[in-house]
Amino acid sequence: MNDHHHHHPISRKEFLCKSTLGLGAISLASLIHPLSAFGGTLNSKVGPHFAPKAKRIIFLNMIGAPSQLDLFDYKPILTKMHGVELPESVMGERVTATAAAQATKPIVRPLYEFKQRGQSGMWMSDLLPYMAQITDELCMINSVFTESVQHEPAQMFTHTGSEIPGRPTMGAWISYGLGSENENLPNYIALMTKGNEGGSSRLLSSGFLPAEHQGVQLRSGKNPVLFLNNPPGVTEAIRRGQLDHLQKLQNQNYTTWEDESIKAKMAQYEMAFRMQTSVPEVMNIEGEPEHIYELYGEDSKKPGTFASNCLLARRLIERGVRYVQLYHGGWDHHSDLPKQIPKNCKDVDQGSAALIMDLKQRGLLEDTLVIWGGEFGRTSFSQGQLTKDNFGRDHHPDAYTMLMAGAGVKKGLTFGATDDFGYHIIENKVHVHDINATILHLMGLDHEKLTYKYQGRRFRLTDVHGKLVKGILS
Amino acid sequence: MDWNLFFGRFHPLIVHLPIGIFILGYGFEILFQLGYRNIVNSRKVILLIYSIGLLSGFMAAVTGWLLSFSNDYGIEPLNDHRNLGIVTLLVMLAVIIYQLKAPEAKARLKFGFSTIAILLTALTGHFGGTLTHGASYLVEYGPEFLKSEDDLGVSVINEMHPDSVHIYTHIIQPILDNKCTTCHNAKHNRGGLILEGYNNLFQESDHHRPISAGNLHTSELYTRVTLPVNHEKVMPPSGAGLGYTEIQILKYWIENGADSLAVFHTETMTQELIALMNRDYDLDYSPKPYYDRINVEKPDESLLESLRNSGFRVNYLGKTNYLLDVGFKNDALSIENIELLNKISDHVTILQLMNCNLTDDFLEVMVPMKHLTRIDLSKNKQLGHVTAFLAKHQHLESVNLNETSITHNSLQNLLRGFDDLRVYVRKTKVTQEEQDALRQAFSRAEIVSEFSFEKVEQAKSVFRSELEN
Repeated sequence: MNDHHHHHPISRKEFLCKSTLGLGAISLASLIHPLSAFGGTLNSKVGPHFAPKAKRIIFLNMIGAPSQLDLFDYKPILTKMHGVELPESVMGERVTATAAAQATKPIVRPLYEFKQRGQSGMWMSDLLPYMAQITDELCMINSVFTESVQHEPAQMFTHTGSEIPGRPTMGAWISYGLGSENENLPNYIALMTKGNEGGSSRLLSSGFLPAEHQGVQLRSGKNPVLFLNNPPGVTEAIRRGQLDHLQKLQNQNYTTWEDESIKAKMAQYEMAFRMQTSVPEVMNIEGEPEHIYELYGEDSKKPGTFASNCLLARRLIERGVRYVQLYHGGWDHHSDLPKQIPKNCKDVDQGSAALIMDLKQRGLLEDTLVIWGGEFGRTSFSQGQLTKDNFGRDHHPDAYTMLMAGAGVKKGLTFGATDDFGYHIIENKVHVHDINATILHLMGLDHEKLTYKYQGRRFRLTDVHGKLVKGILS
Repeated sequence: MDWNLFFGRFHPLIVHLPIGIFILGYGFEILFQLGYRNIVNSRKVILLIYSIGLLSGFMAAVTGWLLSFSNDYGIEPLNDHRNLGIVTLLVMLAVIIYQLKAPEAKARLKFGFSTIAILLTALTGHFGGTLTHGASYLVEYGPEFLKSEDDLGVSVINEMHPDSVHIYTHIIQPILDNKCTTCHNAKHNRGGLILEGYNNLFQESDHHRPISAGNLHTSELYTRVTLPVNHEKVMPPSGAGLGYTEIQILKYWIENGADSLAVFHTETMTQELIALMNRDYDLDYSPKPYYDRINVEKPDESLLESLRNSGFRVNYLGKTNYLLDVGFKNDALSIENIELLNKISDHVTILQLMNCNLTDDFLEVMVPMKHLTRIDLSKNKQLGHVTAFLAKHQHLESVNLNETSITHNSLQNLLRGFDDLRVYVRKTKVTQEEQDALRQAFSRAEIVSEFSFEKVEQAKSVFRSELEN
């Protein structure tokens, strides 16, 4: 960030505003509560606006866009018309460049059998045998659509409500809106799958919100946060003294420049100090009993796997972390889908299902929301040649599936519907802005009131859009 | 047998004859005017066509007159159509006479006169179409700019707060305006019935009273709109009738007193009506959680501060909801802590006292919290006798007793006191068999315990199995 703004400690406009209202407010605040006047913003909060259903969120983000037609949105006609050219009339006006360039568009059937599961009768593919066992806990939205057909902008859009990087991500907004319940851990934590990372640090950005709301990525293995430990010879007491002195210097700096980022930086230093003990504690899963490993599957013992990250996500949630983001990459199956998607499913299926049920058996699902999904969907026709044992599917932003489970959403509900070819939405369209508005609503935040003023105007996660998806609220 | 109507219904059939014939004659007149004399070499042809048109027009007018006795149409638009039709015929007659009697008149003048007659024909036809198909029929599937604001059907009630929607003003009267008041208005009160304005709904008409508050069976309006579509007395007699949701709303409104300021109340609505309102009006009347239904005064801030200072996490539920979500953050609770908590007992709706060495003795000191909906007592290994304490909380929805010493008997007693409690009993003394028995006995309760997956056999891809075949 090359922000030279702090060379001018205070602008003309700001001066006029602060000298009249601001100083009064500060002196009032310090009269009421002397310490809070200069506290970090992580403990002050703007919300909740109304009683929340959920206090915490885990977003299991499948980067690359999993094929909804092979996993969730069952279309028997694809099986009947397997290999037949997709009728022109189905496609409509919006066609991606790659699809337009393709000479033939043969329809492909779902890779595995679909069955109705649980008491709800929700359809789910045999590719996800564990998720299939917990459908009565899930809310499946088959009618999500988005703006971009490219990964990066679509991911950015999912997380920030804008295709262009620079806006705060949802986790940052929620941290800003609700504050922290555990001062020893960051409020917004991301875990990546080792070897299949997906995602990027830009998807953890706090944008123009104060920097302490930024997502912190924890690494797998012995060193979850690099350089967190004291170097040899430096004791905790020495570190403490060092920070105290730095604090004094920075306070002087702050009185000169009045730059909020100085305070944010100090808050981060203090957080890092506390994390020296809190992070090793939460990341150490060796104390978990055997039957919990069994629940999450074999992989959960190996640090860095998705299953192990699911287990960590539960531990973070238990300690009051607001927003945990898990990434699993490698879902972009333009070709080789029959070989690739079973591997990915095996990676995430048991861990995702186990996480939801582990939260449930502990009572944590009462106020935790779990979200599962990617940035868009995939086409019902094959990209490239459809052979006897190989095919791929192209990007498809006009209809895809997201799952939710937990606080405030209906259980066992299949919401929205697509046409016979899974191509267009025919019932209950849900835009990404609507998903984001609904998530904020579940957290007790009004997406129209959660704003932040930056560069002269107030910004929202949902820009000027977003409608509550009332049909999925319990 | 109704001869009037029998012949009257030929009107839509016959009416297209004069229109077509007039236009044909007018086309010939244009050609004549432009000088194509080798095609139309005399005005006589044109006059002959106009005369045939006039004859068919006369037949159309007679059948139309007969049809107008049917009561099927709104009076005002019907009058417009009828009067204009007669004027058109008279003008056309005048055109013919003028051309016959004044052959020396300027050709342009004759042509202008015919043009007026043709325009009148078109206008009459349009009014007739509006009468049978409604004003928005033509543009219904056209581009937006063609439609008037009324046609767009922009409804703002889905933007309103569900509690502010007045059933009469925002739903019932717009339905009546849309479907009924063309015939049943203050000017033309067919059947002595006026459906404009709230008071008129309760005035005796030729038949019965349209609405009688609280009684569906004596509300003639409700009876008429719910008759089978081919019934002779069904209302409205033509065009689309009331939709299912509209009828359900009308029913709800009448049954609940038909007040002009009535609003929907979740308690009196059926599940179905709640779902319909959500689907068709985007209005959410689903039951609100207990903590959103009650109001409490703001508690003493200094009390909350002292709670926070002694290790509690204390949050208001919302900006204007002063119920409290309270949790103890440290690992050992003291009697002093409990006494502090007791001071705000009327505000606590969520309480988390997990893993803090809570024992049965503590519960005896605790004051019941009258708005408590959720309590988490998990990981207090010595806690066992919770039933007596919990039973004092009638609004309780969820109790977490994971990793406590609760026994089958206490759990059974607890469940007896509640209708649909959610309890968590993982890692307690209640065995799997006992849990299953309790699930049988208390089917409305939800007993959550250790979860494990069924064994999974990896399914095969249909692609691979097809290959193998």
